[in-house]
Amino acid sequence: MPLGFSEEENMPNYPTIRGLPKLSAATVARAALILGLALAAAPALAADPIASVGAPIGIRDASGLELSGNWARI
Amino acid sequence: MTGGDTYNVMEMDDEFNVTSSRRRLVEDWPQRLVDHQIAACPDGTWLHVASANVTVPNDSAYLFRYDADLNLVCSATIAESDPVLRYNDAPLVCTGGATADDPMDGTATHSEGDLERTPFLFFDENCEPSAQEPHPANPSVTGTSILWDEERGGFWQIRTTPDDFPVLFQLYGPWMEPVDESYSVDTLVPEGYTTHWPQAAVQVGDYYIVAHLARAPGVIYNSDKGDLWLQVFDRGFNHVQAVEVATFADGGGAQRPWLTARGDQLVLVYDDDLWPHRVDVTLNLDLLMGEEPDGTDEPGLDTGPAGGEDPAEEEPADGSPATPAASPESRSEASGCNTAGGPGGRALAGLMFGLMGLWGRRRR
Repeated sequence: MPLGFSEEENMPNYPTIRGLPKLSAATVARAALILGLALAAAPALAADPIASVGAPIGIRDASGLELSGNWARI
Repeated sequence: MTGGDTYNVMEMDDEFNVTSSRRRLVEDWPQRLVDHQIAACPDGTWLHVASANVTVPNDSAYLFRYDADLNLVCSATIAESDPVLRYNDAPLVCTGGATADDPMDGTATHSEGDLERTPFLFFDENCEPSAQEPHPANPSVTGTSILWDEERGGFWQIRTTPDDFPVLFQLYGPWMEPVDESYSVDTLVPEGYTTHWPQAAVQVGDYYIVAHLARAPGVIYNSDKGDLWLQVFDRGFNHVQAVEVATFADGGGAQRPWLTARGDQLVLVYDDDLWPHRVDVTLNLDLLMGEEPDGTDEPGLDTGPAGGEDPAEEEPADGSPATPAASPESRSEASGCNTAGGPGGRALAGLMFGLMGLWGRRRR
């Protein structure tokens, strides 16, 4: 065996919780897929177009002096 | 900075730090310029209109066109000592011939009298007047926004009405001729407030974002001040979101709001008396664009009519006449991420900050 494992050692060994039924790999995969899709869709559906708004900041020139003037455009 | 009869420009880096000394856009102009508006053109050049007080306040106006580096290319006298019309706070739009029917670039005038209509003036790329169209004078054209809608082949003018709170979207044709289509949309400002001065508007994907002022009932405001708000509307003209950005006491307030979109960043600029301020806004770009970004480009960086993008390289519209109720998918394909009417073009290299002289207060 190239990796030094026997076929038996490569068998998946799913963790089990006593008292709960053992879940198949397919069931776990489906659940993960559904959860992933839900998480991916949730932010866009729930959020607003404007996600956040900062506090107003005065604009300063290169020397740090706060600028005055009107009709400011960026 | 010093006062003066000009409009200054300073370069800023990506973090909006000023990195250069100011430079006058117009040197040695014979008239002292008072009120300004500047718009980015689709090819990255710039259009500027300024008023002057020759006989009475704002009875004169001049047009300037600049290259992408804001070097003067041409200029024109729009009017001097006009006995009727006033030219301050004029909305300005630069479409640069976006369609075959597009009459190039235009700016609106207004009257302080009782005229029902005032001219909307068009100019070609050489600053020569090319046309004018009578424009309804009520609600007031001053302090409003005009966006070019490439899909519709016309303009949306965004106004507010006195003593009320909705924002009015009025469609006009490519020659600014009235089209019988308008939408009056509530803004969710507090009861009793009036919306005011919707001077800044950008289109981002399938949405319009409008910056405006709101005035509280019973408060006497100095000049055109007010609390600062952002409103989001979808392209079906449904109200989506309202954000109160800044409030002011004792009749103070923000003036002259302006918006620039870049990626998921929206920059709101206003001045408080003569002190300019910046507010950084983060957009939910996935929602605005109506699609998941594919990671191969940066939605919002390249803009439409104002974005410095070659119109010939834009995705064509689907050919069907779009309606406000058209599907988001079709609108998204056709419009991309436009910041029509805003100087968002040229992305990082083109960030500029213009300041008018200290004395250049708006006069009404």
